[in-house]
Amino acid sequence: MIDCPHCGAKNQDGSEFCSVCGQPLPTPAAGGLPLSKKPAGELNPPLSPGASGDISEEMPPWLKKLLITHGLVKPEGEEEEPRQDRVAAPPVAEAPEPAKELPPLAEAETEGWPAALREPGEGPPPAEPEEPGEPVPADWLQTLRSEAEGRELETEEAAEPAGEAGLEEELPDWLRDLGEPGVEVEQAPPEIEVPGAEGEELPDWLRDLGEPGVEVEPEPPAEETPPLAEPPATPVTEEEELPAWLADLRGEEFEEEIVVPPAEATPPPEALAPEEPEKAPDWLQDLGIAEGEEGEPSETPALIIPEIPEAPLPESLLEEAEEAEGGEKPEIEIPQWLQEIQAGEPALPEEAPEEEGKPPDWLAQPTTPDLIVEAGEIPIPDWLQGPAPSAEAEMVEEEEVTPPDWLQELGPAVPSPSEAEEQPSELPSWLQELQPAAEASAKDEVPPFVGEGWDLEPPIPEAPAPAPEGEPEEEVEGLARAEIPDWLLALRPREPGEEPGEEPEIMELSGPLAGIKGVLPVEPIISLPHLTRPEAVAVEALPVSGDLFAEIVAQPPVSATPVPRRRSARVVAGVQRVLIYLLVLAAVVVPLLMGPIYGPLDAADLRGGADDFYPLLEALPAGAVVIVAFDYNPATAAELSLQARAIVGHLMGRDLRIMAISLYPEGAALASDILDELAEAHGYTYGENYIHLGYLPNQPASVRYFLDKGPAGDGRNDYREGEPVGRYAVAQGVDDLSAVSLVVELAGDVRTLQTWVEQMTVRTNVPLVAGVSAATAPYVQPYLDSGQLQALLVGLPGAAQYEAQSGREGDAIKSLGSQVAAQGVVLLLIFLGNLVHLATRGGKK
Amino acid sequence: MTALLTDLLNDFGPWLAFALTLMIFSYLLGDNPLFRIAEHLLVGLALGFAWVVAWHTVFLPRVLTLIGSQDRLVVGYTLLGLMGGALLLLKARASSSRLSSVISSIPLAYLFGVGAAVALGGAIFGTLIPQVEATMLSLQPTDYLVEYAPDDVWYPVINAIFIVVGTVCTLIYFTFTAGGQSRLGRLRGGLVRVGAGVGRWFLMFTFGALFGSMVMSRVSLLVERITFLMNVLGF
Repeated sequence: MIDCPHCGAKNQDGSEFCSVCGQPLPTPAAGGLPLSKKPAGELNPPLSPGASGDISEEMPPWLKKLLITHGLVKPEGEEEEPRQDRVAAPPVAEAPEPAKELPPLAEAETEGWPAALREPGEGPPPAEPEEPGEPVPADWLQTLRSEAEGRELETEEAAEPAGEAGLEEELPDWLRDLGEPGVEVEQAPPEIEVPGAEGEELPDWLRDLGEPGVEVEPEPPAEETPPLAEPPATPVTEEEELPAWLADLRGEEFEEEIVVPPAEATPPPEALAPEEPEKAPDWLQDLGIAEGEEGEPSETPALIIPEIPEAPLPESLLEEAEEAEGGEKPEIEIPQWLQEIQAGEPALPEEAPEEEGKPPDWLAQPTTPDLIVEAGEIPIPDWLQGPAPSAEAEMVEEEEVTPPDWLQELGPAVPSPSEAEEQPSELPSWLQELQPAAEASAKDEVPPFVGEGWDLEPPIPEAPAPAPEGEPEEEVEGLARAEIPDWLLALRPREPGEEPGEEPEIMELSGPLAGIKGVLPVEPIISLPHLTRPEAVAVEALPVSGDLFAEIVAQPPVSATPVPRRRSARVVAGVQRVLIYLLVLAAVVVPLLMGPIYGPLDAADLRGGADDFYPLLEALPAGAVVIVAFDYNPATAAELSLQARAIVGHLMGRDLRIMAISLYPEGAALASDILDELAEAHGYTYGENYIHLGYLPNQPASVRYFLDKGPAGDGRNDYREGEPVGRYAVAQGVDDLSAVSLVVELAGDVRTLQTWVEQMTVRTNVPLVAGVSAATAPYVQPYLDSGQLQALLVGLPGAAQYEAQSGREGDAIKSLGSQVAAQGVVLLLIFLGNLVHLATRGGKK
Repeated sequence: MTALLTDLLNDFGPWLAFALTLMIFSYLLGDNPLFRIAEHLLVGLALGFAWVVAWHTVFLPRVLTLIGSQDRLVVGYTLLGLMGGALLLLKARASSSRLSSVISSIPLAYLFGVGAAVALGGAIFGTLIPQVEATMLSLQPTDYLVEYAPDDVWYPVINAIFIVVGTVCTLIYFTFTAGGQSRLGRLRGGLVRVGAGVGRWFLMFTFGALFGSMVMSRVSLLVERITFLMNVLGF
């Protein structure tokens, strides 16, 4: 146990930093234990004492902000911690096998790397030559180690799991597996050079994860250096963890979307080595952004997860690296997905002959001639130099460094580590599927490749317990063979010999899923109308009434068979009917022959509408225009013709101008007969005192048209002569309805009366009186009560009343006796019929 | 010829009408060919007469005459109406194509549209609103002292009560959703039942009045026909 001089906490042997306060521990191993049994400073040229400051000065503002946020660089004015110790202190007991077999990075950069990897215009790497044969921890390893330590220290220091340490703690294993390989990837190549027996214990997949990162891990490129992009080796890790087809999909997806801000300035190579932990690769810095953001750990997954599927390593880079390596290559297996991507190019041999002191072939192949193969400047492939400047500009401008847009788009969809830890159910199903079943504790959240495989961490209590050998591989393999949901399997590209599915695959053309086939078509689901699928109703569930109804419907129609009546019954029924006929006939004929049984009718005895009707006509001045509408047919002529005769006779007796019109063709003929008959009796002349306007179609529109144009308007012709009404003397001065003093509506149907009332009430104030049949009276009475009708005559009694008012005994009064007698007979028969019905109980004895 | 026909109709016309009237009355003894002949004659003559009247009153003066007018606007309107009427004839074809059906529907749609618009406006402002206002009557006798003498005030008041109660109760009778388990619902259901009962009696009286009016109207027809027969016979 080692006691911390600062806080007094006890730390395990071999610890270089206090697990409580994070201060360096005064252990002998602090200077150099190691990963490669050699101080880290000897592996890579150490930075000068002022290197960090120089770097800070040369670093772009955004990078400074990032590093400060991470705690990798102290803000200006603060005393910087002895990072040298931190870098060199943590020993690496077990290094990956590639790290042992490959020469140190400095040697590789100066010796074996092809010139194409070096950036033109720059000299050889200024890294200090290290002692051959002596294992020196690579700068990438120092970076990784120091950063891991720094995380641990920050984790211990911070009360809350915020920041990068908090992120590490909160990250689930599966997410660590996805994200941390990037760290390895960027630092792996130097480790390749570091021999170590422990490295042999690491599985191949872990070595693959670590190696590619060496190219990209070092300092972000300077202004003259193309911007960095995501480490290319990440897909390799994912390839190990995910199916090849899924890696392809995701690789395609993120290859288009990854935008990593470039560095504005490239620090000197000699200054980079000690600062490697602080000069984390871009993708790691992006990760750190999310970690370092206070109170916003939710963005972390969005930053980590997209980095997982990284673009594949260019084949050209692999080839050049192989050439530089001289054919000797650590056990690097090009994944299947990479081989597929590099179509047309032969895949690398599964096990290339390893060559000591040379980077692997994939590392030795420069992507572009501008790449730098020196210690402090790691060659950057073309695919890493894409859209970085724009992202960099955005990051510099913003106060808080924000992730690229694509990460922001993905961010909300992925829960934060804390959320994922608290609410694992909120994770997408496919991520949950990929997530290992066994959840690691907060202490186990240190990436396995750091805490287990390479054993970079001191055996502090917080560090995860070393897993048994071979476990990472099993986990990874198990993870790769994890249960994949059906919907995800449905997205799997079809094999050449595989039968296509029933439904055609739809390729997503835009958005983050662009290029992926088989995506659920959201738009048709939303836009197309949904059809309600009728629920299946079991036949047994039908109610009994349904069966009864079906049974009744199924029965054939039964013809109603008349009940045979006896002859005597038929005779009796016939006699009764004849008696009724004769009784009614007698009630009608007798009054006609003998006069009313009630004696002479006095007008004063009559009470009805004539009391109002007659005075209206009497009040009209001589020569006033009265329109009489004969809107009835022979069916009601028995009543209305009597009214018409009484009214027209009264009008002619008052020397009023009469204009007749009808909404019935038969009404026009009936009007013509009555007018001609009465005109002759009163000395009226057609065209001078009266005129027949003829037939007007029985429609509201025609009545309205007539009221608008007037009786003589619009070239109307008369009924008798067919001449324009305007030519007649009776129509002179009658241009519109204002010249009309009264409208008399003789309606046999309630519809005609309603038409006149509705159209006239709205448009004119011309008085309207009506004479209707008895059958129509109940429907018309409301118009009289509302005042829309000035007076009303009803049926034959109304005609008799009017005749009585006129002092002229006409056919109406004569017929009224028969009317009364017939109605009395009808009432008597109804009464007798009800008595018989009650006596016989409806025919049931 | 015309004078001869007119004289014949004047002499034999009443007898012809007498015969046709008896043929119609023969239906009292049961359905028979005479009744059917008279019935068919009535229908045929009514349609023929209507067509003749429409031709002489509408078509001839409003179409054929205006076609020869010098006013192009009048001619245009006339031809437009004539064309619309001609298109309606396409409806008479049972096996009309879709195109002809659509074309013939244009004037029909115009007729229905204009007719419905005019009828609806008249129904609202000529019947609905005035009739609603007519039921808003005062039940206080003092409001009728202007029109009626103090001794006769009871008549408009009772009339107003009948109108208001009859209208409200008749409308309540057609309320089919009353009721409920709550106290208010039960109260409402009771009021509706009472009102519906009163409204039903008003409806019964109304139907009785309609039936009586119909009987009275048909008795008037009988009286007129018997009077005509007696006049023809010389009584």
